Amino acid sequence: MTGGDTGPHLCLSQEDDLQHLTTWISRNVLSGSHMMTAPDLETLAVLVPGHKRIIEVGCYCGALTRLFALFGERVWSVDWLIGDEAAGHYNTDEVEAIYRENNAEALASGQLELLKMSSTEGAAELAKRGVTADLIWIDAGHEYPDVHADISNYLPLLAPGGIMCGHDAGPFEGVTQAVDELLPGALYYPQTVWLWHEGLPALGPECDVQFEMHIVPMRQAMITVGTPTTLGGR
Amino acid sequence: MQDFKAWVARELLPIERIAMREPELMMLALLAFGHRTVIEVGALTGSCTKLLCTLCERVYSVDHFVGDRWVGTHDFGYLHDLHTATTKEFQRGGQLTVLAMDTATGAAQLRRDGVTADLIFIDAAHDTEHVRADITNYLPLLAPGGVMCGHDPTMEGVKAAVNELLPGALLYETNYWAWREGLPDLEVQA
Repeated sequence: MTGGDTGPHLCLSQEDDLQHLTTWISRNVLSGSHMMTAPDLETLAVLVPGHKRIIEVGCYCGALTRLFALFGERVWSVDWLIGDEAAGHYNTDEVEAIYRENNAEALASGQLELLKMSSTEGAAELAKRGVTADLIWIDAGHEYPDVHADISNYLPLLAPGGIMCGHDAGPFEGVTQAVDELLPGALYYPQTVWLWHEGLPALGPECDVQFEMHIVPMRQAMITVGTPTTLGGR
Repeated sequence: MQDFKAWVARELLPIERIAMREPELMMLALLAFGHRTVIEVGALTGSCTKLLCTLCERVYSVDHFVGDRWVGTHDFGYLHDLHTATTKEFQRGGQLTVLAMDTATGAAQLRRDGVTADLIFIDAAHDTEHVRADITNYLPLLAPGGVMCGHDPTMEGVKAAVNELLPGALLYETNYWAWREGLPDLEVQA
C-alpha cells in the first residue's frame, strides 16, 4: 500500500484498457443533472457497479438513470413527473421526453422501465409484480411524510443483503428525520448521500451526525432555472 | 445517521504506520459496503482489515507480514504484532481469519478450505508479476457476481497486470480499480 498522490494524473489513454468511470459520469450524468454534485456521483459510481436490480424512486429527467442503466441488468424508475410543492411543478411532457431521450436504448431493450405514477403507486405496482432489488435509490419527495412513506413502501422490495440509499441527507430536514427514524445507523456520506443495509454496526455516539439545519433553496431553483438537459448522443 | 468519516478519523487514522489517507479509506468503505465475505490480500498493519471487519460479516486477511520494497521490509514480529493489536477483537470473535503467509500460499489454503468471497481486495506487492499472480490466484475464489478491486492503479506494475488480466476494469480518482464479470464498455455507452 502506498499513501502517494492520487487523482489528477489518472486518465484513460488510448492504450489503456482501464475505464475511467468518473470521466464517463461527468460526460453522461453530471452535465445533465441539476441536482447531483460530483462528490455524490463519485459515491454512487463506487456503489452502483456491483448491483444488478435497481429501483430508482424519483428520476426527473433521467440523468442519474443512465448510471443505473449502465450497470443494472434490470432497472425501474418511478416518478410521476409532475414535481411537487417543494420542488416546483414542471412540464410533464417535456421532462418525460427528456427522460426518454436520455435513456432511449435501455428503454427500447426492456432493460429499463419508467413507471409514471406516484412513488406510492409505484411501490404497490412493483410489489404486485414480485419485483425485488438489490439497490434502491430514494430521491423523490423531500418532505418528512414523503420520505417516510417511500422508505416504508420500498423497504419490503429490498432483496436480502441489499442496499437502500438516497439523496439530500443533511440540509433537507425531512430526509434526515425520516432516515433516522426508520433506518437508524444509516451512514452519511458527504456531500448528501445516505446509505443503509441490514446489520450496520453502531459506530459510537461521537459519530452521530450533527447537521447544521438551514433553509436551502429547494429544488425549485434548480428546476426552474434553465432548461432541463438532454444527454442523448453524447 | 452515522458519520463514517468521523469513525475513520477516530479509529483508523491514528494507527501506527497507516498507509492510506482518509479519502482512500472512505472509498474502501464504499467498495466494501453491502458485501458480506471479503478476502483482503495484503494487510500490513491492519487499518483496512479493521475497516472491512467493521462493515462486513466475515473477513480473511492474507499477508506475510515482512513488508516489501514499497512499504519497507520489517521483522515479521513487528508488522504482525501491529496487525494483531489493530484487529484482535475481530479475531477473538471469529469474524476475522488471518493467514500469515505469502499471498500465493494463502490463496491455495483458502481454496482448500472452500472459501469464496463476494469482495476480494488486492493490495499486496505492487510489481506486475506479483499483482498478476494475485489476480490469477484469487479470481477463482470470487463468488458469482462478486467484485475484485485493488489499490494503487497509478503504479505501473498494478496497472499493467490489471490491464492484462481484467480489461475494462473501472478506474477511480481515489486510486482504486474495481472489476466484476460483465462490465460495460464505457466507450460504446458514451
